[in-house]
Amino acid sequence: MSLGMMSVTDYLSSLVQMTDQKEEHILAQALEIGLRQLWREEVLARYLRGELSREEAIELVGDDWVELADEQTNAVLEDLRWALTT
Amino acid sequence: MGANHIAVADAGPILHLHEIDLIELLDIWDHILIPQAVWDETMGAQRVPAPRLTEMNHFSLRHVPMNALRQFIREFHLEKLHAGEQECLYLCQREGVSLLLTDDLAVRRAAKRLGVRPVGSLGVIVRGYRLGRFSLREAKAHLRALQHASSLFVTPEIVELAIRQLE
Repeated sequence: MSLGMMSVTDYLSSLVQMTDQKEEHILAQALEIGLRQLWREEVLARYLRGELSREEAIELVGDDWVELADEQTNAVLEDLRWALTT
Repeated sequence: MGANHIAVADAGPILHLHEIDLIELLDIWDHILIPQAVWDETMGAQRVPAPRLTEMNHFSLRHVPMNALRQFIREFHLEKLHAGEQECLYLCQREGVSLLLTDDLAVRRAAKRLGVRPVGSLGVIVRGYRLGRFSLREAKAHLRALQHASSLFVTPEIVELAIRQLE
């Protein structure tokens, strides 16, 4: 089955088989990873909206994620300049 | 036909624009060159129906010789990129094409090092708006669709930043 066609239940049963871990353990891990990701996205969103300084964002999620957010923003701004002015 | 009417396309923009039903927007270029690896990744893998592209008559499949490609990869330290991305950059250089359609940040960096302008799916939509292909309202809807209905990873904040620049 391809990734795009898998449901949440498919992922869960597949991970149980592949890792030989209990469903409860995998669900607890999934919840933790999901919450970390949502929290990181919210921090970066606030940074991009100017509600957090760069230093504050780095303190909360680390250099790599803030640099990625900066690079994505710069890429979009470059695209816009090209699309609207050349 | 000037060289600025030609672009080389990586798989990203082809897939992402297809996912929001905007693949035809790529006809704002007279010719789009696609290397074999990108063809395999998109049409070959049936992620984009081949007839949709062939009917447009804007896409040309280009063969990339392996020996020349290997040398190019070594010379420009492109080992970490995927095959399609390497072939795209090679084609830009070989064919003298100055514009590469890509949604990948690492490819953007490599393209700039080679003097090639990278443009992503979002830029293609904004260009379409500037050329009068759709209204401001439609452009905003397309940009938001890119975030929620395509597999492109882009945050809502970046889409809203782009929309603010259009208004």
